[in-house]
Amino acid sequence: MVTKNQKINNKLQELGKTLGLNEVDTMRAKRTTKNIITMALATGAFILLGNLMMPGGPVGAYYAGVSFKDFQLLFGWFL
Amino acid sequence: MSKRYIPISVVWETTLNCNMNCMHCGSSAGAIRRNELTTSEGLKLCNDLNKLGTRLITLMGGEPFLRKDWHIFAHHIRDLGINVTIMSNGLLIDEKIVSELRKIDPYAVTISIDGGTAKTHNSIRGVNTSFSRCMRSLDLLTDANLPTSVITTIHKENLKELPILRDILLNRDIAWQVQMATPVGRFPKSLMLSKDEFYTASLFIASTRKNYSVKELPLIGAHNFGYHSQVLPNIQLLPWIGCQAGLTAMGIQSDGAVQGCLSLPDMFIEGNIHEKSLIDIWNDPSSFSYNRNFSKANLNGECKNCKHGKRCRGGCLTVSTSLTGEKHSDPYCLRLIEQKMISE
Repeated sequence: MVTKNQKINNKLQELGKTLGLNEVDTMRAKRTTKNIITMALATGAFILLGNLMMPGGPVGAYYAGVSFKDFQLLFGWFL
Repeated sequence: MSKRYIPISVVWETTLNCNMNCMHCGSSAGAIRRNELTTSEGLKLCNDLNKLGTRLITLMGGEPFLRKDWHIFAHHIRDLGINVTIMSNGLLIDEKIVSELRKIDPYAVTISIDGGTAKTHNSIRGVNTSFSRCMRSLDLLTDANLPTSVITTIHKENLKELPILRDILLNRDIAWQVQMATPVGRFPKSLMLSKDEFYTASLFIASTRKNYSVKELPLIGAHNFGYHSQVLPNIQLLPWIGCQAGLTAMGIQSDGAVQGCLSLPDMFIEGNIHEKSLIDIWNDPSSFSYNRNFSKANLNGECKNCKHGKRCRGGCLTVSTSLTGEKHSDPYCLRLIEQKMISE
């Protein structure tokens, strides 16, 4: 009996191969609890810093073309 | 009292004139539109956007550098205290333009690169020398420490070159945005990604973000890469909160037509600033009703039964209307595709 998770993993591996992703790359790309928490924290930081640097709210800023400055707002401490 | 909306991010097509002939161009750019805004009308437009509270104006085309007054607009926008981004095809950027851009201090300068090889990029964009010229433009921009981005629009002709393009852009302080071509303008539906290919591109973005740090390669999937996946992490810049057309985003065509988003078809035009002031169009209670008066009952297709429907608004409005003929029913949804993967 193939579980839902196995079905997804098999499909991801099949799709990933077409762009040169190996099994490890494909599995590492999946969502984790850490991803979810990091994104929540980054979003909070973006909104806070964005409001300071772009009064009125940064939410529309990503709607056209992304800027390196957006990443500096989000992940500034890594850059 | 009705809610006050602020067009935080505005994309202004300064001209439809273009020196490329891209197969996926959503606005079928090439020749100038009739009645394009004059310099003084364009400056008034910027003043009105300032009054409305706009924080970012993106100058695009066509090719914005074909307008001789592009720098007048850009300087004026900066003088108003608004951020400015310039979206170019990269063909005309030279030392003189870069020197002007440095004075402007833009939020971003973006160049479209649609292939990892000259053959693919040139064939998609219809100009034989464009790949080498775009690469030189990227060098000029990054050497001048300007915030530089690359936008790649993917379809069947270039999907497989994403890994090559990734290797070209690595460690160059260039932000990379990948977006999916949709069948609007002159892009033929036959070249659109299949749902499997769309999912593969999403997987590639997620994998690249995992394998490379933001410093090595800041990469995002654009607004049409979503939504609420149960398998992949969010690959957009921020979590999806629904289409922002007419809420925090607005698009202005070069002839003054106003839309919530420039990728939407002309049936979504709310008015023209040649006939009515931009402020009145934006603040008209009947404008942008598809998003401002949205409720869960407006969802269509498979989005009707989705628990995220109210917040998601059914994904990208352009993808939804161009593929299904209905609003709020984007079938290129990671969550929907995953549900099909499981049920197969």
